[in-house]
Amino acid sequence: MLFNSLDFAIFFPIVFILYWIVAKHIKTRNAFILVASYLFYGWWDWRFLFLIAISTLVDFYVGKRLHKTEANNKRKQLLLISLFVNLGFLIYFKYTNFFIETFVDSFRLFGKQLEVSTLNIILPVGISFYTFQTLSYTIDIYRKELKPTNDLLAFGAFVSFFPQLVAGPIERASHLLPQFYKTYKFDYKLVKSGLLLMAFGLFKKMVIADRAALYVNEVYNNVDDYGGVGYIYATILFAFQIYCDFSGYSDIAIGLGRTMGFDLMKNFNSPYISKSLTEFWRRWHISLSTWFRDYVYIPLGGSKVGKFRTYANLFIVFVVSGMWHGAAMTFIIWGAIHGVILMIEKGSYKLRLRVFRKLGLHKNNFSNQLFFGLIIFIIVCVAWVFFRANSLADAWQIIYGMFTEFDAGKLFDKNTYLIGFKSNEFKVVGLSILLLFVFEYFHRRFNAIKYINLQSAIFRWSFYMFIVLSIVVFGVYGDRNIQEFIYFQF
Amino acid sequence: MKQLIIKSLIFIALISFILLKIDPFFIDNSTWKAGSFNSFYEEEKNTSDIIFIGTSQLNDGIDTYIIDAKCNTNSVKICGPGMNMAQTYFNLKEALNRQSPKIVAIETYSLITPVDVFNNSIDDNGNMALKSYKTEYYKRFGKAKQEEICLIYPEDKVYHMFNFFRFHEGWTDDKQLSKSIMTKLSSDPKRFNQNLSRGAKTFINQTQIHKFENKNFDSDKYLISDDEKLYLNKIIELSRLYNFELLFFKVPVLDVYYNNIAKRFNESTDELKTFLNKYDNIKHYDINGEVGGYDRTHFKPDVVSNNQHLNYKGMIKTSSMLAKFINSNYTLNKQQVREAKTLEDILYSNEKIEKDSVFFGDVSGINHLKYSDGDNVTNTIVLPQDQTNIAIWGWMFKSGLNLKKSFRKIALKKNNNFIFVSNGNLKRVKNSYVPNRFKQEFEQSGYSIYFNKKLLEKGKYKIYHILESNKGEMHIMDMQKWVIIE
Repeated sequence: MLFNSLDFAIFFPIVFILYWIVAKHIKTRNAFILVASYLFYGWWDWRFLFLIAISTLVDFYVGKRLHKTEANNKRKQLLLISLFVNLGFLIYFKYTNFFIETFVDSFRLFGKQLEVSTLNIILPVGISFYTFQTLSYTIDIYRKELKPTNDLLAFGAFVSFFPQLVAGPIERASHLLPQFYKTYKFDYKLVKSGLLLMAFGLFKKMVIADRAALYVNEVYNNVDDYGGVGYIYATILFAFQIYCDFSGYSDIAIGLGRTMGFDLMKNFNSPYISKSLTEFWRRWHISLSTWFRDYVYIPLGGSKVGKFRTYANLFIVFVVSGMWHGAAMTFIIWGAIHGVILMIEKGSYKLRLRVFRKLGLHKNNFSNQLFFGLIIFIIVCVAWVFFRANSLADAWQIIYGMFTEFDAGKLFDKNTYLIGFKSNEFKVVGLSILLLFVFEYFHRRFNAIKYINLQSAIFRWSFYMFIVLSIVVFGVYGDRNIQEFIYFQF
Repeated sequence: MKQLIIKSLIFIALISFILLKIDPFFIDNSTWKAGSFNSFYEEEKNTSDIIFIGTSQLNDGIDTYIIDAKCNTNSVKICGPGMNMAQTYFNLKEALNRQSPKIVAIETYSLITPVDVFNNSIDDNGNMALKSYKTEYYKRFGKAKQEEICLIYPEDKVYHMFNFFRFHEGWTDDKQLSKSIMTKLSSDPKRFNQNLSRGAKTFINQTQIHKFENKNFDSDKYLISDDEKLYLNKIIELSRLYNFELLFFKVPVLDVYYNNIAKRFNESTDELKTFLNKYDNIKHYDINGEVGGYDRTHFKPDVVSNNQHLNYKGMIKTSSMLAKFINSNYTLNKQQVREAKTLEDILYSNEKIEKDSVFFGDVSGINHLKYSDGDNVTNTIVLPQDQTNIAIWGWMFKSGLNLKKSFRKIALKKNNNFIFVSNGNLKRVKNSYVPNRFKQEFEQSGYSIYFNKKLLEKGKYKIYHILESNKGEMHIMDMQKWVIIE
């Protein structure tokens, strides 16, 4: 079920009311969440509910056994069972065809043509998200950082919690699971702020991301038809599309959780104002980057194993992160670019500091923020080309075209900036992105939702109506089809 | 929780109110289709005596202003392109929510025409197969629209139900949007629609006529299908429930087309008559049987098909014929004195038009022939037979009425069955005589109009000057001048 669909518009109010009717009784409430979550997921394809159920049962029992077992070998075996089942599903559904294609391509490099066809496998929506979430539970118990739960119902609800089931935030059991043991009282203000956050999320998704997608898809799906400036505009718009798409989903998920009394972790924190790539990854998809930090980077030795191993660890983490996003070389290269830049950033830290001091770039003033912000945005955008391109060849063509076919005159040429757009659409996207920047700027200084709550009822209601009407009028849906959230494919 | 539910309900009610209020602005109001439905919605409740329902054939074929002037009635016309019998039924249902007509007149193009989408309008799943003309969107939110939408779009009901969803992307074309909004806000949709129909002043050329003569029309499909009978029966049920009379008629078709398919056309008309004859509150007026179709000068130029649309000339004649039929077959407000509200009310009445002492003007001449040439003064010009076009020129203005803010028209009245009124504003021409005699500001009071002679019938026409202020006030002057078309 998509958050931006009519089905969800009917599902949510029903679930919300029933939820608060049963909220006082923990068991009933958790059972209700479980049923609602399975219904939410099964709406797309009920067959894949078995995968979630198997993951849930395996990790629940592995967790319990891990806690009781002291022998290291036995504990490792148990952990391996959890890893084998969860990663097994993930690898089979997500990477089988990728491995087959890579295998065939490698032989082709040596002039050998293999007659192997790919399998007809449907990728279960959100498998990467719930697999990582449930894995963190067993790993934390293995590390003795978490006690297992004895409540299968609460654990089942934790694994399948519908607000964040298909695209995160990837919650840790230590943060989310205990919330299933609590009872919640209906808090009007909390629910209202949750609803507002959901509305913001929908605005970002339907008004900005899906509208920008019209331009981006046109250029990236017809690379040969466009040139340098078109590529640049498309890539910049993609940067905003993916941010608004994914952070919009996270806002809806967090808001949805909040309306039910749950606190989900923050997933985005204005990433495009970052002054370094390290900072960018502290602000972008926070739940995933911290997951990789805790369960891949640190187990590999982190930064405590010498300079070169640290760089290698960084690189490995980002290549794996690229693979997590998608089973294609483009995603691996996207991860590798981030890994390499982060290595350079880390390795050149002292040198950069000296140079910046001499040039006066070390101060934290607006012009420096803007300067570094722009550089990081450009680097991120170049990497996004690989993330979005349909193939490596397309990605290279776009990168090459951006630098060799750049024609400044075309920057203001209607035929370029209106690709896939009518002129009003361009204005709406531009204005919405500007509004987003202004909103995030103020939101960093003071909580925007609290600020809105301080205003008069007329202002507040007008504001709410403005958001709803904007979504109805300026949102992309209907004939142009409801766009799935980009991260659903991961 | 209670607070949230109450506030949510109030919010939803408010937002729904706003959305439903702005809903009519999401369709393109600058088209005849929207104009037709809008004119119906703007009609005061329970004031219509006759409701006309039909396709574009009806829209181009009947002028309700003429009907009303001649029948002393108030009528509305609901037309949509390709409206089939099922849609006719839903539109009638909608109409009956607002009006209590004495007569519902249905134009039968969709019944008789040999097109599959009309004959087989309901598919095997019971859903409406016809989706191309989108008449359903012009209706406002309500039960009739909901039933129709459910039948046409069983899978996306909500999306298609509300224009603010279905046409929410309208803002992307700001020119179209502003045109639509301006039309909706500034013009009377009934008059707007009439002006569009009056603008049809071209006709089919001889080459097309040859194609009509030689085309082989698929005569097997001239039939009243089961789907059509199903909805005809539903319409008849409504007529009994709401106690109104039903009148079925088909606006005239092209004579060469009629001759080509006359046998089958008449058979299907007879089939319809037989079907309807069982009911005492239903009448059928077979105009084509009476006139045998009209010649090419009565039709807009179009592709060679069974779908022919009358032009303004055809519309005047058909409206007059239908008005005569209504007057002879129904008793409608005959004794009631009705205030003359429209141009047609005045022109079609036999009452003398009183002189307006501050309305000045003159018809100077037609086709280089002057009414006053030196000592030769006449009040009638005979247009030579060899001249194919008519150019009328003269001047008119009214003291106190800003020429730039008013519309000037002329009317040519042959008799009470044929009055030709010009469309839009007459071309403004400088006139040197007027400033000398009156004021300089009326220098632009000259006018000229030019059109094909074939758009008029043969006969003697009286000329009228018409001035319409931007507030809709109508001023008419009988020029006491005539033109004879031979």
